[in-house]
Amino acid sequence: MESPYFIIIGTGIMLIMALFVVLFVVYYQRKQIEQQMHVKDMEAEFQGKLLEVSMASTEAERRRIAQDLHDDIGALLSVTKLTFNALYGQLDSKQQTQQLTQQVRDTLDETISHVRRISRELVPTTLERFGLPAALQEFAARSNNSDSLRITFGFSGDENYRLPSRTELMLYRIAQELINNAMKHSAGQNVHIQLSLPPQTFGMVIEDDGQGFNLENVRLLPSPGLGLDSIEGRLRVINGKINYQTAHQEGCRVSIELKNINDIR
Amino acid sequence: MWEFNLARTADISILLPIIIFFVRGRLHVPLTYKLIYSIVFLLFVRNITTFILGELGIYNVYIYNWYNLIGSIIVGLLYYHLFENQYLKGFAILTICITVIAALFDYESLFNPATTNFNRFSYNISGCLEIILILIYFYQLLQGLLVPNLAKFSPFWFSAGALFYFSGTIFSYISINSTFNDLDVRSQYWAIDAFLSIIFNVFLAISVWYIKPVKVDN
Repeated sequence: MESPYFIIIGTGIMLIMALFVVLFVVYYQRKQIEQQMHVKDMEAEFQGKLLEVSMASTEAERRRIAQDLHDDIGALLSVTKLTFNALYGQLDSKQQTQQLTQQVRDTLDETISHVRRISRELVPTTLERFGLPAALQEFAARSNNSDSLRITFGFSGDENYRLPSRTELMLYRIAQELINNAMKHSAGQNVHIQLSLPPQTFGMVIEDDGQGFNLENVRLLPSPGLGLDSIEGRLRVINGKINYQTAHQEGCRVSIELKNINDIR
Repeated sequence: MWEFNLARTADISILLPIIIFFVRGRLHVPLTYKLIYSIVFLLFVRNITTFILGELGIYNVYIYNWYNLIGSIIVGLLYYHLFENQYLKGFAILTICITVIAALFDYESLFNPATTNFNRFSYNISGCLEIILILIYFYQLLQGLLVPNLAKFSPFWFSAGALFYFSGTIFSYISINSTFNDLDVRSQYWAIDAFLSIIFNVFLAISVWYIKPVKVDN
């Protein structure tokens, strides 16, 4: 017959061990979850920094190309035009020769205009010099040269208010992307850009009266699609958020806000 | 006298999870949660039945023996569904088979309503196997890290309560012929079982509280 003390002591030891196991499981699991979340935060931060660096490299490359186009090709073309003007003045006034030379001169003018346009699109100098409202207004006016869509721009707030250059550039690129999407896909007639700067709350709204789209279906498309991943990636860098309001045949309204606008300097 | 009061308290404590079940009333739940409900109701039926039979002076030990067998099968099925590894699922089924076979070794304790003996094999073997199943499940919880907050996870509370109960009673069951099957000392060990039953029922109540329904697609 087993001693009752054996049973009671054994029972006590088993209960203590059971208590230890349960407490250990709770404590260890909590620590593991915290560690997992910490690693995920670090990964997200790393991805954000990677994206920021990638975008900075892209912008730097664009700047270099714009500089090369403007300094080298633009300068060469300008010199060519000057030389040609001088040559033109020395020609006999034969009608055919004059016509040909006029055509060449027109072509040179057009080439110089294209180079300047490409350079401007690569690096929006208006944005750097005059800020976001001026740059968006210029972009809207320039894009209105095509017959497909009428683009209007509205603004409220302090036009001298400047966001950090990185933030302004990201917002400008996002607006470019959204307007290009509207021009390509909306099949609408009007696009309106509304920008609000402090002292009001910052907000940028771009809306069109086109055919709208199914947001969930678009997200499933592989890149480039509507470039939504690119837009949202840029917003993550500047701590912004985006809201899409769209439906079939009801146009599209995209609202962009910046979190912690007061902390951005 | 205090052993009697403790035993009655243990019998009544099963009402805690029952009341919570009726208060929360979640029926669209996964199978694992339904198995936890089954254990609660099985315990309730056992306590009610043995109480009534006891009051009527009718032998009721065989009810406890059947409860142990059926309860072990349900617990085995519960961990079968909780385990993700195929081999562990197979092990859970194996424990059910072993428990059934062990119980049938002392079939007289199951099929003789006048028996006064608790099943010599079923309690200790099923208790050991259930402790092993619970420890394996805890290991799976730590490996997978799929549950963000264990304190609000129903199967964790059930497993913790079951671990305390089976760990605390394992030595009593291993020496069952000297403990529960010895009428002279039965009441002493019954007190340990009753105390641990109260703890188990409290953990069961918390487990039922944290049972979440599945989303039903319309």
